[in-house]
Amino acid sequence: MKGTATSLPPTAGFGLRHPHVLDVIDRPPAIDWVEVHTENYMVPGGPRLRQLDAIRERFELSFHGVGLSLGSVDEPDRAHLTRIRDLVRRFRPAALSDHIAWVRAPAQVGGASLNDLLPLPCTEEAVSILARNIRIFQDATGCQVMVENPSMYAAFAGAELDHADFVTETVRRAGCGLLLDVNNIHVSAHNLGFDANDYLARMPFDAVGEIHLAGHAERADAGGTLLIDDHGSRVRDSVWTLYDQALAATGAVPTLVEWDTEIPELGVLLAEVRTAQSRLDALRAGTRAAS
Amino acid sequence: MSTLLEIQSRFAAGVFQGADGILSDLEDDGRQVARFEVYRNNTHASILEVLADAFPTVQALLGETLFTRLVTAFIRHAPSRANHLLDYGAELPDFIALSEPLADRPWLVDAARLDWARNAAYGAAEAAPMGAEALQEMAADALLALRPALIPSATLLHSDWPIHAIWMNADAMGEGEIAPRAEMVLVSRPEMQVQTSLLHPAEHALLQVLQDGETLGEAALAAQQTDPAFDLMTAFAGHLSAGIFTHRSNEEPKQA
Repeated sequence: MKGTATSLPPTAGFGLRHPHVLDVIDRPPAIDWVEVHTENYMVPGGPRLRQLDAIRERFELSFHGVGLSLGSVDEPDRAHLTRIRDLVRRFRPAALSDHIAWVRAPAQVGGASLNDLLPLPCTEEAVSILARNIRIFQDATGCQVMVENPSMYAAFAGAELDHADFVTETVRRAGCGLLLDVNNIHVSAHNLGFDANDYLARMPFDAVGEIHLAGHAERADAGGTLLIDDHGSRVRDSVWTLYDQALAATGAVPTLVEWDTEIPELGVLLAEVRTAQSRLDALRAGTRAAS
Repeated sequence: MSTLLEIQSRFAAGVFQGADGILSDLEDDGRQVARFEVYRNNTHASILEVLADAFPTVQALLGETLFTRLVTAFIRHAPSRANHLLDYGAELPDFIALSEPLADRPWLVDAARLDWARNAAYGAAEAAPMGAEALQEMAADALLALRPALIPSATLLHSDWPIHAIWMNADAMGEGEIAPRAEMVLVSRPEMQVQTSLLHPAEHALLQVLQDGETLGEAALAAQQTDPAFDLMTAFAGHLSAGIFTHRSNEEPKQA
């Protein structure tokens, strides 16, 4: 996995979570790859690692981190980078990623983990800090990594760039790949009041190495409705539509279905994977017909 | 315009201490409170879930409401400083020990230690178990001079409370008093399953002395002093075949 952000096959996979691990080892579904959260395997030993060995024998892997806190004012934690590097050496994933977000409070105020992917202000300062931290991530692992565009519930005052430029500039300056999460675009566009189609159209498509799909929830408050990126239901129609638009621009890209809360039976998740795969297949058939 | 350092500091204070300084950093659309509340909820709910998974006995004994209150106080007192939360909660037993509102449930501290030992055992490092065959060849002198180590996943617990029974029946024991009665437990993960075994006091003495780095001879003596009638050989053989012993790194058996 050197040189390019991904060597995943351009097919549909899903985020493998604990309740499905033994099922997938016993009866491997007919897919090429799965994605796991890197941090779930940062243990010295035990069943988690042995199960991932078994998964790796059958599937390509994507390592998707949630803990590096690339948007923190501080540089990424060296011990955490070493753990990622060790996991990369052992499991040889086809892709490595984390988020355009921050997770840990500044070291200056104690460095507590907030255990959530938190929003950044759209400022020059934030872009240059992100770019610095992503480069440190790439140098420490020897991989070109991908970063995921954020889902947001609040925006900061005093923006110097708009949300799409913020992502594009970060990817360009860091020299990394983009993990394009189309559900995040839909959620953020609704919550922050920007145009999802315009944002999508301005993404750096040549940098996209993977696409994420997921479900979201609606929560009403006194002022209106917030969409919550809870990964707890089927992909909504509006997000499938955005996905089709994204594919038209990127071509066939490895696509992942995520489901993290109210996790259903594996069959429900695999049905979503098949829907994504049929869209990838249709795209390829369309390309053949046109050429 | 605030710096990123200022924004992230105020945001964290807003989540953990409920400070509202962060609200003026957000775009003013009249919904800042509702928006920030999503983040505050996400942090508290996700950390609560992590600790509920790690401390099922404590949660069952306290019930959801009290457990949530405990976690809220704990997060404020000792937030995670790691980048992932697999290790988060190691300090919860000591925090419970110092908690005044929980002082009338003194068994809770050891229940928390048992939960944590099980949680840690699941992801503990591997070690090659000591084989029974190698020991059968040894002369009695050499055997007694051996210093078997416990595998990395092993934790010995000695409680003034019946913690094994409490762990087995936590759902039914939440209400009311628990009578003091000492119980000793070994938590380990020799293979893929975490084991929680009730120990005879002499068995506990045997394992504790070995864990302290002493010889099998000294461990046998301690076990016999605890209970002269105790069947030491059977107990040792049982633990040996269960795979809870390993060689110390400087005591690897010679390869044949």
